[in-house]
Amino acid sequence: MSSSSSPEPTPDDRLSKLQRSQLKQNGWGYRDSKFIISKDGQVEFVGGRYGISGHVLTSFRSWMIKALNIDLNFRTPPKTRAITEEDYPVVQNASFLASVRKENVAWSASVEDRLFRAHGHTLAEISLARTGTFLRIPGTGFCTLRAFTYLSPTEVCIVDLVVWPRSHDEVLMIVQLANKHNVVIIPFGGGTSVSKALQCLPYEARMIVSLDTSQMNCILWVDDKNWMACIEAGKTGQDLENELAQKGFCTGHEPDSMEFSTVGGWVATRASGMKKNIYGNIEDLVIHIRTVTSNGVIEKNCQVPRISAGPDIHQFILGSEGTLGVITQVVLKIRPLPEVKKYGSLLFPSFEDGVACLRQVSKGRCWPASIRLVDNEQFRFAQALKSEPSSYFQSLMNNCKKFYVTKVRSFDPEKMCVCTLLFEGSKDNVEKLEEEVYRMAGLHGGMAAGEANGQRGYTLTFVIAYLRDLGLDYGVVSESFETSAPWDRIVDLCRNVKFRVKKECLRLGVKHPPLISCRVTQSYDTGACVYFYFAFNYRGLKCDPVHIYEDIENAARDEILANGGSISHHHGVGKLRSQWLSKTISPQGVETLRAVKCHLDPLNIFAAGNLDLAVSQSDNIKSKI
Amino acid sequence: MWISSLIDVVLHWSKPYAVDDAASRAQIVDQLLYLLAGLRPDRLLHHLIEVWSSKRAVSMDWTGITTCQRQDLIEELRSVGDFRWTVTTQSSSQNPSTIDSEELKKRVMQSQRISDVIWMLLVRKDEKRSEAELQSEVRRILEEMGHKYSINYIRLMGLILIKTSRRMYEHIWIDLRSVRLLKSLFEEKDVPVILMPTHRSYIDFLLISFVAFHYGLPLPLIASGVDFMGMTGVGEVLRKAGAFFIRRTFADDELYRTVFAAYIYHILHQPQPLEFFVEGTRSRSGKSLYPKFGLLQAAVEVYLAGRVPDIMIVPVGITYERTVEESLFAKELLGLPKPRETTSGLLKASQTVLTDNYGSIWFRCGAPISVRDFMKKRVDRAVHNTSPRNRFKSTVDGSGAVRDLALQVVAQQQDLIEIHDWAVLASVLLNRLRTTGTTSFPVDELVGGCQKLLSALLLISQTKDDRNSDRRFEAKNLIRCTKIHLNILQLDSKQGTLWIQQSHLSDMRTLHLRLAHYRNHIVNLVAPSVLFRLASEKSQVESLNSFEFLKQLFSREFVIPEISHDYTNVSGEIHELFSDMVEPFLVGYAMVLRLLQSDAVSVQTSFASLRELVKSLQGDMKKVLDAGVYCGFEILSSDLISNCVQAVKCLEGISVQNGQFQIDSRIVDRINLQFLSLLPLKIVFQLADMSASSDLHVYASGKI
Ligand SMILES: Cc1cc2nc3c(=O)[nH]c(=O)nc-3n(C[C@H](O)[C@H](O)[C@H](O)COP(=O)(O)OP(=O)(O)OC[C@H]3O[C@@H](n4cnc5c(N)ncnc54)[C@H](O)[C@@H]3O)c2cc1C
Repeated sequence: MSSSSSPEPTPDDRLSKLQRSQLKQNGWGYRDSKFIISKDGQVEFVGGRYGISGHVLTSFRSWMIKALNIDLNFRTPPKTRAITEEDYPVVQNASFLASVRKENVAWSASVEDRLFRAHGHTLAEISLARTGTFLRIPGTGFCTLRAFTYLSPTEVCIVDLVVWPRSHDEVLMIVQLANKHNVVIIPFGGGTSVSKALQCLPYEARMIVSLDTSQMNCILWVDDKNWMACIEAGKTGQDLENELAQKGFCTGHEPDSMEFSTVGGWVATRASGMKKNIYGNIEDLVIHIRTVTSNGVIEKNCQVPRISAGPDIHQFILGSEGTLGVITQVVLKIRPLPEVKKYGSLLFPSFEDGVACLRQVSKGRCWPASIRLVDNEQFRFAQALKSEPSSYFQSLMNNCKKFYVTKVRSFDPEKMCVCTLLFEGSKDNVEKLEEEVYRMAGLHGGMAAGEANGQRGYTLTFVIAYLRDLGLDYGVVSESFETSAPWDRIVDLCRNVKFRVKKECLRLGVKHPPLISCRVTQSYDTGACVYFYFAFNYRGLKCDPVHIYEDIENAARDEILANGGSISHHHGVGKLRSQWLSKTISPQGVETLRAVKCHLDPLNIFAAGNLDLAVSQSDNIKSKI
Repeated sequence: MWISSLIDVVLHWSKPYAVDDAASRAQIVDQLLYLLAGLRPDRLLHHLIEVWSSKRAVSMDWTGITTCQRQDLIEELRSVGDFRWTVTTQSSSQNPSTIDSEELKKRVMQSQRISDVIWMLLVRKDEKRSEAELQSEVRRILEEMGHKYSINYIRLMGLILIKTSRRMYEHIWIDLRSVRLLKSLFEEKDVPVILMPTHRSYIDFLLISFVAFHYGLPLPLIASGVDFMGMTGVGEVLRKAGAFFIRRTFADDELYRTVFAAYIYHILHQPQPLEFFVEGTRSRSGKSLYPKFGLLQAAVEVYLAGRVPDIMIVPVGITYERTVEESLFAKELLGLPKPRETTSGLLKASQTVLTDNYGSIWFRCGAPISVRDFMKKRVDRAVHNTSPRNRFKSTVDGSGAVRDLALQVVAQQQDLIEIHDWAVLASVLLNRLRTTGTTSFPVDELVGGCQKLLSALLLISQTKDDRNSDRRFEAKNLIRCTKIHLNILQLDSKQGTLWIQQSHLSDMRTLHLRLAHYRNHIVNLVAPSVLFRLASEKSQVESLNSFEFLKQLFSREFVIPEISHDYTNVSGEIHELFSDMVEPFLVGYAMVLRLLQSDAVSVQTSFASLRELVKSLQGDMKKVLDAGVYCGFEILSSDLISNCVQAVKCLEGISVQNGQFQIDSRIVDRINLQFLSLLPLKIVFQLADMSASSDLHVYASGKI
């Protein structure tokens, strides 16, 4: 192992350029799409990819000022300093690099490529990317282990090399080489992680290689007899659904990040799609998984709907967060495209009523493909995101005109909230279901508020992720976090978490009242998934806002756990939430994970340190060396 | 009862007439009640004019309030006019009550929790009752428990109260920061507020409502003991004023406990605050009582179960310069049977009560305690996640934390008690009575003593105001005190002598206890430092242990805050003053401990109840005191004896076997020895004298 600051770069330009050219390095999504504030002071969404692209959002600015106290003159744009190779010295393993070249694997050591793969999309990571202050402290060894729940800029490093295997066999070969030369591998899918799972550990002394799966992006076969498809791990959700659609099929797995996140990433994080009510979450969709570990390939020898063969080895791979090996191929269930797709929406006098309705729908198991309830704050926020003046509200009012006088009038605009619906299936079924759902809504004081509002809600889904970058430009930090909880705790949990967040903001000296809102995004028989959106304006704050933000999110997570919520419904643990894992699955549970890890990866090649596996693994390695 | 139905009739009857709004209807009701209350009708006209001439509601001027520190409510009322005050002060917006009392009961009745517990009881083998019977039992409990809050009755109470309080009291001092604090707490909608006042008198029940009413704050729902219900009519009136009733003991009654917990849960979800007395009952001794935990536990559980984001607890100190129940309390403490609370008794008492001057009342709130913050480091709420929410079981951590919380509230209450002149004078008088045996005192000398004690007290007081004040105790303060306590004192201003009233000389025991009641208002301020000093006479190592021991022995007597204070800065002279105040407690405890020893005269070794033991000890102590060596008659207080016995029980000197309380003489001997070794020689000699003069060989020199 040797260290040098100037590797000879002969990267595979074609590959890196192709991928990078379209996406932002220090923000969300496509380069051409973003929110801006135009010269006449209006908020606009530029680009041509989404429903609201090119629209002026006339009332959004005043909402931003009202809800977040934004000062348009207080600008905090990203640093545009040019980044050089010197900024990020490389820990180089020459013999590994030589072997990679010999085997003709595509690779790159350019600083842009390395930076892009050094982070996911948590607030802390993005704000590092915006300021360009990642740093590698090479050679400090294992002893300087630090708590990494909060990494100050000087404590975070970036990968040293990117490789792009093209197939399962190439992955196998790379993993073997890595074991031979003792370099670290961090699998990289779409990079949409929100758990700091992709971050490199600052005390890692070995060379860190990002294994980018993006070149493994084929549907290997579609089995239309048994409705299964075999897909390479690097396929993104969007491409997958588009291609399957050409054959008349879909997987129906639609996480909000589906434009960029990959099949391998879903399996590695136990992802959840918006339409799980019909299609299931990733663990329900998976039939077969092929994973390359340091100790060889782990997989089942059949593709059956169910099996009793001891504890399910799939369950170790699902949610392994890149710590056990590289997922290369996944067989997923597919279904024919639905005959009908129909949106809908409901208005409820209060969040409590809405939750009660969702509970009833769950009791009757008459779930639409998707049913989401947003609270009053988000309801008002969504209204502010309308493009032409008052269109949203107007259509809302038109749709319920006949009830307007009798009912809407008695709704408290400070309390009412909206529920969006998506129905899929045969025409008959959809109609029947619609009727049933609207009837149940009626029992809880809800009323239909039209198709257009529902549709709007779902198309906004993809755009909302772009908003954080706008906030960051104007001194606002924001993030979402999620959990799951039993039905009878949902309302209390939401209220208590909001209370706690506000209290912590006060305690930590945040000058402006924060925005904290929630929505119920998934319903189950016994509980639901809740999403929180949290933003605050850090103007006037003395200390680092990201630090403050993380303190508050940690407090919020404590509160969630205290109120019977989980560590995460689908974002995973990563490094961000590892402090709660032992409490969640008991110390014995963590030890079991460690034992499995020890067997599959004795040299700790997959050393991202996720799932609370960092400490004992480094100890483990030390004793072996 | 008849009053309530009459009002209902009137309300009904008044509807169709010109009375359009609630306020004027309320006026009519009040006028009627005014007549009913038997107040002088000739003044009615006057009041009517007052009302009609100014229909505008009384609105609080908050700007004025922010500048001054305290306000005299009596003075305030004078400027508004009683009638107008009662009628127009509170508007419904100031006093939100979303759930009416019947609805509240219905919700409890229908709650999951109740059906759950019924189901649980039904499957039990030893449960004889059927489902229907259990349900009607729940209904019965709720009927017994439930409040019937009604603003019109509050107005009635207000009117009576304002009349009587004006006659009885010179001042009702309201700490205005407290009012501001309460107002800001009520603005946080999701967070329930619990007011926890000291409990020294029946007046407490009404005072907070009275204050809240005046300042436009939401009126509290008040938890009270069921013994009140025995008083015909009174219970009902209190219900209407927002009181609800809770049995004293129900630990073994699963059904009652659940109904109670569910009721508290629903109350905390009302916009009105909950009010209860953490001491559980009126403190006869005037000193803070060791707290009761049941109600607080139920309230805290609502937070621990995640049903509210937080609860704010406001300790409230109410100080009476002269307690209405003064002589009653003294008698009770001496073991004369407590009269049953009856309406006629109350009315009879009130006739005499209404003619006297009761001086001042001080009302002050302490820093609110956030239950969330308090529990943060102590309890993990997540442990309840793996059982259904209706099956909430408190944990060991939880119960411990509730105990700490209750103690903290009491500790804060102690700091809120006013260091009033009379408490100081009573302390000095008590001391003189005990040491000199005379019953007349030169005023000059008394004033000097009072001034010394007062300045010492102000010096160590926890309240900033007190510490900074330039209050002095002068002759005029003494004169004022005498005026208010004419029942005890008599001033001969020509000779400059203060006399104990003739009528008391024959019953010194009661007199001592009456004075002790007021001394006890402030004894808690000084007790910790005195105990600390006793312990620190010992060597370094031992002193910490000794202090711990004393804290345990006196744990029921003095609530000593957990936060370690610096007691070392008390000078020797001040320590002398303070020791004099605490001395009777030391003597009393030594005496009780001695009597618990196996060779003491009449003590048996096993008792059916602690109360029986206390009674027997009290009898023995009377005999010892009858010998006339020691004049600190207050040690006969059943409160002191029972506190000591309880502490001995905690120290395992008394154990329970087959329902019998057994004295373990070995442990009692040990406690006794350790305690004696810490007492100043002066007291030890005194004890020896006492035993020598009675036929009790108390302190054989070998034992010391
Ligand atoms: C705006 C936004 C919306 C989101 N919405 C959702 C949502 O609706 N539902 C949901 O479930 N999640 C959502 N996420 C989270 C994220 O998209 C998921 O965790 C996703 O599954 C990550 O996939 P990825 O391909 O981007 O993986 P990456 O982010 O690249 O990696 C995530 C983890 O998986 C590991 N990994 C990736 N590929 C492999 C592989 N082939 N083999 C082994 N390990 C691998 C990585 O090492 C890392 O530990 C969202 C994130 C964002 C930013």
